[in-house]
Amino acid sequence: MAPFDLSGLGAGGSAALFIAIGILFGYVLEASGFGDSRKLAGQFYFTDLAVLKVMFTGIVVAMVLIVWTSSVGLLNFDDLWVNSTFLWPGIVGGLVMGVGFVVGGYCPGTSLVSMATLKKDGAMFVVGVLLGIFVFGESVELLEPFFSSGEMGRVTLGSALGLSPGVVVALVTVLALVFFVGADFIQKKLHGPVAPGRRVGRFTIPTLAAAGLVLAVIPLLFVKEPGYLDKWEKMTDKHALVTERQVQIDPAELLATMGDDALRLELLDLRPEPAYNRFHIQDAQRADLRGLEGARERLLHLPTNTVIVLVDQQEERSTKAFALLTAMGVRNVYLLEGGVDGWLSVYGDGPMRPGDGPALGERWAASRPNAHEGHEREYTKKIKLVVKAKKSGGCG
Amino acid sequence: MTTARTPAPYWNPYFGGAMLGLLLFLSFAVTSNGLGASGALNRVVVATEGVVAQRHVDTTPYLAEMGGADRNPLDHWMVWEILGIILGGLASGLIHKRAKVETFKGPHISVRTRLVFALAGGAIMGYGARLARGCTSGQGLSGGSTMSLGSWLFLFAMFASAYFVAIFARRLWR
Repeated sequence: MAPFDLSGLGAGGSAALFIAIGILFGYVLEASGFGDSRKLAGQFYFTDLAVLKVMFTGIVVAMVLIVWTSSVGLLNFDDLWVNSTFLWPGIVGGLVMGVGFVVGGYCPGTSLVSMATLKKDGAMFVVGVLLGIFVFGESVELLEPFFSSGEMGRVTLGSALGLSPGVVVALVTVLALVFFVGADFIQKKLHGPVAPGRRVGRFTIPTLAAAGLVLAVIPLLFVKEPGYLDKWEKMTDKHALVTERQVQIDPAELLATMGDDALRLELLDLRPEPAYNRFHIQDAQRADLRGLEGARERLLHLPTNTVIVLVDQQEERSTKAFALLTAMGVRNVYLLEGGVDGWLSVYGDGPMRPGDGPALGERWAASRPNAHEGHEREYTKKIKLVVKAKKSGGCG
Repeated sequence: MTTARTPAPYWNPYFGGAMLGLLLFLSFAVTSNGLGASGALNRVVVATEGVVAQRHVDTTPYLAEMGGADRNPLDHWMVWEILGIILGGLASGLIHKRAKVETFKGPHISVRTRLVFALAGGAIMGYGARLARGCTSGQGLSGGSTMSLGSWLFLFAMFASAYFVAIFARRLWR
């Protein structure tokens, strides 16, 4: 499932990939007229609204494709970089950039294209951008706490407004189409006729394209977001982790991890409360299978050296929880081989039967056996800490 | 060259937009990231500062995050991407016969005035883009298509401000 893990490409391969993406981006920008400051500024005087049309069309087309492929399970939206929302600096930054846009006639990306085609004003703008960035970097400390204010993390229009992605896409598409018609109308009123699109039969190509877009969006209105277990079913590349027992760790490896100062252990016990109260491994927190979705944000943002180990009486609930967490995009998840029964068969005096003994929680000797007292046990080490490179977005 | 240097017309905006959207989608699908520009320019600035005063970069948190100690600020996908943007822009400029030394400006100002305003506008834009944590590409296109709340508010703020300021900057362009 996309997006792909690019670590196999190596440094050279990934550089080549990003250069290729950049070349296409630069080509599209230049061919659409974004290398000409007069055309860019024309949008603000309603003489030429092509720039707004290109941008808005680009956003809508990409959005429709992203939501379509996510809803049929080809793309994992959770893995995409979504710009974090910093409410106030974002808005004020936007207001400042609007001034620069009109005064300078470009934005950073378009000025690069203009410079590449040897335009002096484009090159001067690039120099200006570098200067502005320099000044910002040197003075950012003066801007705190404003620069970090209104931090909301990864918020989409859908989650903010309580709408499904399909409804958001439909609304944005309608907004875009109204805008396109309105733009031509205003331009015609102020500056005379707008060149009509080429015709195919009775309709112009833009009209046909708009109709196609609407037809593509309608089914999205009825798509329910797939649940995480549905997602897991489609993540066939990860199923071998469970079936080939690559994530089921030996009790001895859990014990070693408990004593490893370099790792932060998050031990989640999925058994019902009475069983947990009777006995659990030291520092295990009780977690409910159904409550895991609500804990998603917390689990995604644990410190990077955290290893999550799931514990059940045997392995039933922990295997299910593994599937859920993996589908949510949580990393470094393992489960205890054989569960509490397996743990007690190694460190306890035989499996603890229900009703056995008092509810001592973690005050049993078996909750934290001493690793140095004859408990050395051969096992295959399975925990490999994966630190995902912090994704930085478009302009991060 | 024997052919006349008449520039080719620009693409139809809806065609250009569809190509841009397709590229943006492919970028997300393959790399999980969208497109960007100002972040890479930021790294170029930090790299330059590192050559002149590495100690200063090391001791300023904002800069050190990109280029502190043994970190190479240029070792980032976006730096490769802007290299591509320049190459792709040049390729299209050559193919469409638009690559030539000239200055684009409004009819009522001199070339010198235009260059001064380009520099000033660039500086304002660069400053604002870092404040907003992204430019028209990184916030607008990438954040817009992934439906980020902040990116949409940013887009409305930027265009509202631009349309307002344009009223007073008419002489620059018209």
